[in-house]
Amino acid sequence: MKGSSDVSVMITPREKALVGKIASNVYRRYCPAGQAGQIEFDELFNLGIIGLLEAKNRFDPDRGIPFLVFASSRIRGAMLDHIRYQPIIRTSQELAQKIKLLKKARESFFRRGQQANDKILADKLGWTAEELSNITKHAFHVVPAMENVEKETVGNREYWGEVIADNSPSPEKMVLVNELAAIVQECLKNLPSDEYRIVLLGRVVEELNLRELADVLNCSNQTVANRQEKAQELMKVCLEQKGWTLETLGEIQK
Amino acid sequence: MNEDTALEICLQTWQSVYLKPNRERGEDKVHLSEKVLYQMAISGGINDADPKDSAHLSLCPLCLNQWAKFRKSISDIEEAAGYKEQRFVAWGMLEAAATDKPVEAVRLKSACGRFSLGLLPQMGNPENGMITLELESKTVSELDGHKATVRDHLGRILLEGALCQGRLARRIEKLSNINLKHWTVIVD
Repeated sequence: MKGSSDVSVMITPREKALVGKIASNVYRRYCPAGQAGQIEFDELFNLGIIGLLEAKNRFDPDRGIPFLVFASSRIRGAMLDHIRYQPIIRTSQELAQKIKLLKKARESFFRRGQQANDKILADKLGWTAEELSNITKHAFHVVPAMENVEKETVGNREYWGEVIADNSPSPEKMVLVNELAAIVQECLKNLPSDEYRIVLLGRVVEELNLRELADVLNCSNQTVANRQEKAQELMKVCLEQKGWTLETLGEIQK
Repeated sequence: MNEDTALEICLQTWQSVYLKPNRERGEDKVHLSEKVLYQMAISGGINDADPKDSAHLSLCPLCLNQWAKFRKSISDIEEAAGYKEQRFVAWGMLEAAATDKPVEAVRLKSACGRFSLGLLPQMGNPENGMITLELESKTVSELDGHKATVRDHLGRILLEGALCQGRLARRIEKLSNINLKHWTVIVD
């Protein structure tokens, strides 16, 4: 074995702070307080440093993106990959989606500095206490099951997957999903402008915060919030007019 | 299920279906370039964008996803400006394939030159041996007594403990399992 390091590739204090900040965000998001997360902050920080070093090797200035923007994505990706490779429970995509909703609801209470007990969470999500308890059990290290796999190798890692259920969507359900997607597309097109669509999708699908959207749109946080509210209202009306009710959505959720 | 949750499911369903290009829907595969998406993610970027580009962005989940990643990266960088990372970080890398079996002792210097990582295989049993971290003499007084953690490329802890007289060491098994493509030292 030969050891070497390219001394020209150093880590600047600004880059180190960026890794620390991203590790802190990822840790807060995926290993929330009060829950038995299996990943330590230092683990994420170390992976972020490795992500940063790899970004330095792969960066191509001709792409027209500043290095730190490119590196930030690599750093976050290195951390999230590690989280994905943790010992996992494989489960249905439906359950994975519910877990995502649960995590988002918890995070939303956490951000506002409010305590969220099971009753409050169940009410917000429209679930029964039993349903919430069942989903909470699976809330860590879960990925949707695409196939039944007992032992899998990803890169240099091996991990075990436990298949709880294989709820592959039925052809009928796929028809419903495609039909819903087409209707959503139509309703999105009916929104007053691109900005309403970007605000709605940016907030709900991409989980950007108000400030981030206000900044790109050159407007106030309140304007973004107003546009989001208006877009949500218009979308709900449009979906209802096209015959999509909460009950029909329940069919997709099953 | 409340209405907001229902709408969220609708939009996620739309995203998952429309992320895949579909010829039947008459979609072409031309998307916005990274450069354009980045320009749209900076301050005032949507306002300054070509209307055709912002129209595409507003209905293309693929471009929207990449654009949101850029926007989040920009936020990370802005927030990091006020973030003070106190830990001392060093790193090094191994040039040869990490799967090479250890036969002889190696000494890897960190990029900053302040640390040396040593792998000392046992004579006759090279899979087992000792792993050491040594501080360069000038750094000893600065970092001695601090907790240091050495990890390999996969994030596994190779060494952890307080630096004593500029050194940290432990016995280790399965030396060939260690992946030193990159290795890091974090000192609290």
